Amino acid sequence: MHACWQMIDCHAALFPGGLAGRIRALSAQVIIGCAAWATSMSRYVAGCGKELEMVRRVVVTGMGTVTPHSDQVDQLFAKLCAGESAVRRISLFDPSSVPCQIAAEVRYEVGGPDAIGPYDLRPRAMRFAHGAASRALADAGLIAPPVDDFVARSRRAVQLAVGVGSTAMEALGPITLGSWGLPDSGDARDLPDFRRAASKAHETTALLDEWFIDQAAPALGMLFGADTICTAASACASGSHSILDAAHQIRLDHSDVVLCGGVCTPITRSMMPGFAMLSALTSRNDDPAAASRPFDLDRDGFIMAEGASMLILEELDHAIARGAHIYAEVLGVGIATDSYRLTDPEPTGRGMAAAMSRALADARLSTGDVDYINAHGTSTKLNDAAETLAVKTAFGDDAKGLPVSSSKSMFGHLIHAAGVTEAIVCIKTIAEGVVTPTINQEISDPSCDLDYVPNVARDHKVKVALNNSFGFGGQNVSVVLGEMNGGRA
Amino acid sequence: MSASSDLLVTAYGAVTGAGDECEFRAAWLDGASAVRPFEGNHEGLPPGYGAAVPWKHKELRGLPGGRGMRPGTMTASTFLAVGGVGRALANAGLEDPSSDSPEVADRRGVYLGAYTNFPALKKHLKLVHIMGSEAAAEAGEYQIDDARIMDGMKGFTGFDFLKLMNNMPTAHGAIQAHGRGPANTFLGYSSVGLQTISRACDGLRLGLADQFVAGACGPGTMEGLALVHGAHGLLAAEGLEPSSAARPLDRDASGLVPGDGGAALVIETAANVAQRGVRPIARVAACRDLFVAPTAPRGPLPDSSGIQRLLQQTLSLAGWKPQEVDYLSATGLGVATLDRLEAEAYGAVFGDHLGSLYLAVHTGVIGFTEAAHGPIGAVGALQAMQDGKLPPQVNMDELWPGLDGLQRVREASSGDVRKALIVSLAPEGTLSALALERS
Repeated sequence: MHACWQMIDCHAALFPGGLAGRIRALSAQVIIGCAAWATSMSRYVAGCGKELEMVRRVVVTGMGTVTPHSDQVDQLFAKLCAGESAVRRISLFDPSSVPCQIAAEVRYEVGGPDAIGPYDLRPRAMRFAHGAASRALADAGLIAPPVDDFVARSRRAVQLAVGVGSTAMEALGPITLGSWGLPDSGDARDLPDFRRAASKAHETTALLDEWFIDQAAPALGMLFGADTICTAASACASGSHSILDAAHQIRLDHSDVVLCGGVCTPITRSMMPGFAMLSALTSRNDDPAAASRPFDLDRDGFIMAEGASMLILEELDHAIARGAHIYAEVLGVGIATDSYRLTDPEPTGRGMAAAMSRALADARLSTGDVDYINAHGTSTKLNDAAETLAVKTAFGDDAKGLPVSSSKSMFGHLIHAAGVTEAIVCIKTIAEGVVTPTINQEISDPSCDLDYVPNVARDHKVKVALNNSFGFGGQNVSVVLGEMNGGRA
Repeated sequence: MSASSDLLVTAYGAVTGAGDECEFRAAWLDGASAVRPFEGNHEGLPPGYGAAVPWKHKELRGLPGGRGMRPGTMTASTFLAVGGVGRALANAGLEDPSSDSPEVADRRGVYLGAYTNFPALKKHLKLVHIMGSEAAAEAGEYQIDDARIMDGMKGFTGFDFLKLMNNMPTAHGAIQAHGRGPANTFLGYSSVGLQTISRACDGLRLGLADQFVAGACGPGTMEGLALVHGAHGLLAAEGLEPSSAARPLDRDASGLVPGDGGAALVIETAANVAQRGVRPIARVAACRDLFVAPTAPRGPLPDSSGIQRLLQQTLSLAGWKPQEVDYLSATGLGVATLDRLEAEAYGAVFGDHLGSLYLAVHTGVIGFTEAAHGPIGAVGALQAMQDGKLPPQVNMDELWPGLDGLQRVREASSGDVRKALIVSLAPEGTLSALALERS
């Protein structure tokens, strides 16, 4: 039986905050008296005190990653605990002429097949996505292909966040040559000639397909044998958004197991100067390891990074039934939108705070229950100040002394893959009892006055961690992750 | 992918090659195709004709939430998305969303679907062309000269890159609609428009919002997409009479005809509808989407079984029997490998009932609008529920087997549409359906 019927007691006194107390698992019970509750709880308490609702709990049973530090989760976490930066001078092209010349690249070979079914896995983004997904599936004991017998096809889904394609628009160069001649003046007046040539050129197909990067989800759908696939993008919040959407698919009983995650390969000749034009990137080219310095007074922009990370989210009973190792539970998810500006976060952190509060309400936890926050912490002036305000708004006095660290200080900003990679950091933090540091903390910023775990990892028991992801355009997602009884429910 | 009893559609809006949703309706009822020869910026783009959106930026500013919008910061995808959202907001009576209280804004979500956020290809091609090494080009090869990167970037601003981000349709749409609840841009093939509506319904069921503006954009005439379709051999033949070139489910179709579109629905919980005191148009009876691995990345599908499964599961979720469906909004891409399977699936699932139900395909009027195709299909169904009219089946003459007994509608006629099934299929293997029941 996939469903987990639970009694939801709405009386606040019965929810002191700990996991053990937050939900009482019973079979076919009724709800008793109800107090007023946060808005995002309405699905559970609609009809307040009268409605029985099936609550399906969501757990993490597999993790896979391809990050600048490593493609092994344990190695990644060990390097983060050691405060090791993965930021170097760009090697994917000669960056001498571009404003930002440093990034966090994946500098090792990511193995795997060249194709799956009709999908070409050779493009960088596809290789990363497949690498992270296959590792997550193997970690979860869901070896593919052929996909195991544990999960019916109709109960499998893929929820993906995708970013910029591997070589992006540069890949179209060869086609321009055929119709435009020498790249001297850049005269593009003969675009119709290009169109006529390109519409019949087979190579156009592959190159434009790569730019559109729309084949990662179908390829992973085939790898996993999924019945539904979905791709979404909310900029830098995309990875956490994929966790939110995947958890919702399981809660709604649409799926039992969802492969979710993100992939992004933005270190390209066009995107690096493009983001520099937005004043989003650091200019500390001469000191790569010190360039990403979230919350530090001297921060001047983020570090672009590439990679992919995937999680296997699974319905609790389903995971138990197949004897899966349970890393953590997705206790709550929260989403809010600034509806303010495209480039800047709302300066008071209103939307960010709302995302955190909604995630906590969804988890039926209070701020005092949270032991650690993995911050969005991009190292930009605006984000870090707004996020600090938002944490203080959402957590009040509980923000004091709460460890808040930014993994981006070490591996930069993986954009669409950031949220899931940082969720993996949270899960490892819960498992290991060590909070990873925010490195490059040298000069305090009066507007950033939380405990950012400066420079050195810290032993700290973490039962509940909150992961923040905030995107350009004001899209904010927070995910609450918690330990799961030592790995077994 | 859900059945629901309390989610209601209260408004819709669209921008199409025929105009806004009202003009689109009028054109369809007249049987008038909006497909025209390409001119201006579209000159030289295959197949030489399409249904481009005639809207101007000033019209955007006249829509709810559009006053402060800067069309110069938008791609065509975003422009079409906010056009559809703006029309839906206007029809929902939300003329000034920014005046809504924070409590209302917090409970309003915005989900939009897109294939991808298309660049202004010419500008970006110019960039990569300038990046090219002249020495290599002399030898007939292309090789990037990294020293020339910033030469190519001279024509760009940061906004040229910001507006390319795939979440921009929703980022703009959320500001426009003053939505502070959930917001997301769903990416995918043409079926993603209905998948987006399905996810919005999920959001309402989960209590994430009380009201969603959900839809999609499809700049089908954008050159990047037209080139992809052309290189894959999916486009209609060049040199045809434009008004008869888009031939959905017709064996004489030569391929898809590109069309621009943006459309959105306003979907609300029953409680919110009651609180606002508005009259719903329809109830969302079910949503479903499936992935069927194609034989090649751009299709075709291996057979019609996946489409049949989609139809059967959607009907089952809605609690409907096939013979209860009054209105079937089909995909009708105009590509033989998909149309043949789609016709076969309808024949298998609906059988003799095809002689009674009304088959609607708007691609004959406004071309194939990519991700907006499904939401525009929903708009057509809602309009039929409201006005009781069945538009003519435009350019549908020699139909594929499976549709032999289909009720043919040559001129606009009357019809009582209570239950509508909207189907949006992508040859790439993603299949979506939405069931709407008149309120």
